[in-house]
Amino acid sequence: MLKISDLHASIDGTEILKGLNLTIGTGEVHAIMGPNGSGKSTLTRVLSGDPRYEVTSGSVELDGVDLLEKSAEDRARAGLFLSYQYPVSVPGVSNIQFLKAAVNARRAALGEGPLDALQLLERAREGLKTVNLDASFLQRGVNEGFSGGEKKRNELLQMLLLQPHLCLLDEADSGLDIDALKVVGDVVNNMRAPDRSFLLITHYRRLLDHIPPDHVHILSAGKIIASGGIELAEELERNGYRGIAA
Amino acid sequence: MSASETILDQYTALIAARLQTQRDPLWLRQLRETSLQQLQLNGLPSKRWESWHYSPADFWLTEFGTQHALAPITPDENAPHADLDVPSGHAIYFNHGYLVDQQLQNDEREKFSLQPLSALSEQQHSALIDWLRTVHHADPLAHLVTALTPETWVLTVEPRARLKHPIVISQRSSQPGNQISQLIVWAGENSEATIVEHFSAAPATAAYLHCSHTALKLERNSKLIYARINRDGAQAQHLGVVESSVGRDARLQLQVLESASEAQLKNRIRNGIYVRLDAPNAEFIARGAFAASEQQHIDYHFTVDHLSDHGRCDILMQGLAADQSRGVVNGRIHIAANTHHNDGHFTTHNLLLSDEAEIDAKPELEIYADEVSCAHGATIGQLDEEQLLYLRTRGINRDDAIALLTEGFLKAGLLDSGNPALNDFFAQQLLAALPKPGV
Repeated sequence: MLKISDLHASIDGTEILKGLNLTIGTGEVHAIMGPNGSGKSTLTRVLSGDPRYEVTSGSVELDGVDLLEKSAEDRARAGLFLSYQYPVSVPGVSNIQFLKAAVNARRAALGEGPLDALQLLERAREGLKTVNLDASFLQRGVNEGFSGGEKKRNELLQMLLLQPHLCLLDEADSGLDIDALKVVGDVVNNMRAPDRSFLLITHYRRLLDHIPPDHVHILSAGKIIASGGIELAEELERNGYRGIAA
Repeated sequence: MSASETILDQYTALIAARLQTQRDPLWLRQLRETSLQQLQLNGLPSKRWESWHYSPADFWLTEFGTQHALAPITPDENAPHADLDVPSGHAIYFNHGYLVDQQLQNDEREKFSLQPLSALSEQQHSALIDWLRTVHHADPLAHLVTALTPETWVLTVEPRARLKHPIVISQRSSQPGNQISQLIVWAGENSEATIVEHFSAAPATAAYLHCSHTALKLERNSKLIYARINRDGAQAQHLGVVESSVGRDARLQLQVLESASEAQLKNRIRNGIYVRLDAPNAEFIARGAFAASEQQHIDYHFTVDHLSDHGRCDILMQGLAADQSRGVVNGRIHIAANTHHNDGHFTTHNLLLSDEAEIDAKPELEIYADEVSCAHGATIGQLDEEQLLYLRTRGINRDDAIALLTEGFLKAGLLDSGNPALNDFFAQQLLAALPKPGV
C-alpha cells in the first residue's frame, strides 16, 4: 500500500528526514515511536502534503502511485487521512458544513454522488455517538472552543465519515484521559479492514495496548533505526531510546 | 471657484428652487432652510476632513455632477419591485426615494404608520418635530438630504406596540440620475420592532447617485433592530447617513451588510453612522460585514456618543477586500465628560484577498470620563494558511476551502436578531454573491 524509499525532507533549510524507508502493507497497523525531534510529525506532514516541507530526495508511493506529485487535497481524495496532533480551529465554518464538503469531495473521487443533507446528518450523528460527542458539535465552528480531547474525537469523527484508505494518527493519544483513549482504540479497531492501513505515531505504549500493531518502528534523527513487533515497544519502555540506539 | 464650490452652488440653486415650489408647512420649511444654511456654512465634505479622508464626497459629487444632472429624478412607477426573499413581513417599496407601494400584514396595521413628514401636526407630533429642530447633524449630507429631498417619510411605531413581523423597506433604483431618500423611524415608548432598509438597483442600471438619510429616534425602553443592506448597482455612488438618538433604557441593534449585486462592480458606497446614547442605560449593538470586490469602494464610518450614564456600545465589523477593491472601517466612540459607568467596544477584523486590495481600519476611543470600560481593536490580515491546509487535507480543493473560510469569516458579522428566518435572510443577502464551495 505505502512504500517510502530513502525519503529526505527539510523545512526552512533544515533537514529533518534523512533517508527514511518504510513499507506498510494493506490491512496492516504500524506504529512509529521515537524521541522528541526525531521527525515523527514531519513524516506525517510530508505524507499529507504540507507545502512548508520540501522533499529533497526519495520517493513515496501509495498503491503504486507517486504520492509526492499530488496536492494535499488529491492525497486526501485518494484516501489518505491525517489525524492532527494539534487539530486546527476554523471559526465560522460549522462542523457539519465542513464535513459535508469533505465527505462529498471524497465521494466524488470515488465516483459516488454527494450525500444529501439528511443522509450526511444521519451518518454524522452515528459518528458522534461512536466518538462520544453530543449533537451540538455539528453546529459549532470546526474545533472552535473544543477541549484538547474533543478536538481529538472530532478528528476521529472525520476519519469515520471519510472512510480513508490509509490513516495517519499523529499522537492521537496525547492529552487524553483513559476513557477517551479507549474511544480511540475502539474506533481504530472497528475500522481495521483488509483494505485499510494505519500508521500510529505515539510516545507511549499504552496506545498500543488498545490498538495492537503488526509492526513497531523506532524513528531517530530522521531514520528508522529499528523495526519489530510489540516487543520493541516493551523494550523501549524498559530501556528508553538510549537502550535501543545502543 | 473650485469644482467642489461649483457643485455646492448647483445644489444651493436646486434647494432654493425646491423651497420656492414645495408647499411645506412653515415649521418644515424652516427646517429645510436651516439645513441649507448649515450646508452653505460647512461645505461638502472633502479629503481634508479626517472622517472623509478615504471617501471625499465633494470629489464624488463633482465627478457625478459633471456628467449628470443633480436635480432629483422622478419615480419610475412601472419598475418591478426588488425581488426580496424576505421572511413574512410588511413590505414598503420606494423607487428613487418616492413611495410606490405597500404590502402590509393585516394583523399589525394598527401598530405602526407611515406618513409624509409634511403631514405631521406641530401639536400632535411635537416630540418628534422638536427633536428634528434641535438635532445636531454631524454629517453635512444629512443637511443636503433634508434640504433637497422631494419626500420625507416618517415610520411611527406606536408606543407599547410589539411587532412580530419585520418591516422591510425596499429602496430601489431603476434609472440613472440623482436620487434622494429620507426616512425617519420613530419608535414609541416600550415598543419593539425590526426594520430592514434594503438598497438595490434593477439589473444593469446605469450610473446613479443615491444620497440617503435615515434617522432613528428611540423613545424610552424601546427596542429596535435596524438592518441596512447595501446591494447597490454596479456603477452606483451611494452616500448614506444613519443618525440615531437612543433614549433611556432603549436598545438599538444595527445590522449593516454590503455584498456584490452584479458583475463589473465599480460602485462607491459610504455609510456614516452616528449614534447618540442620550439617556441612562441606552444601548447600541452593531454587527456588520462587507465583501468588496472588483473596483468597489466600501466605507463604514461610526460615531457613537455616550452622553449619559450606564450606556453600552458594542461594534463588530468584519470586512473583506478582493481584486482591486478598497474597504474602510473607521470611527470613534466618544465618552462625554461627567458621565459614569459607560461601556464601549469597537472591533473590526478584515481580510485582504489580493495584493491590489486595500483596507483602512481605525477604530478610535475618545474618553473624557473616569469609570469606563472601553476597548478598541483592528486586525487586517490574509487567510490563515494553516486553516486552508487543514481543509485541503480533508480533500477540499483550495478554491472551495477559500470560499468556506471567507464565508465563515464574514458570518461573524451577522447579528442574531432572535428571528431565525430573518437571520437566514441576512446570511443570504451577505453570502449570495460569494463563490460557493463546488463540492
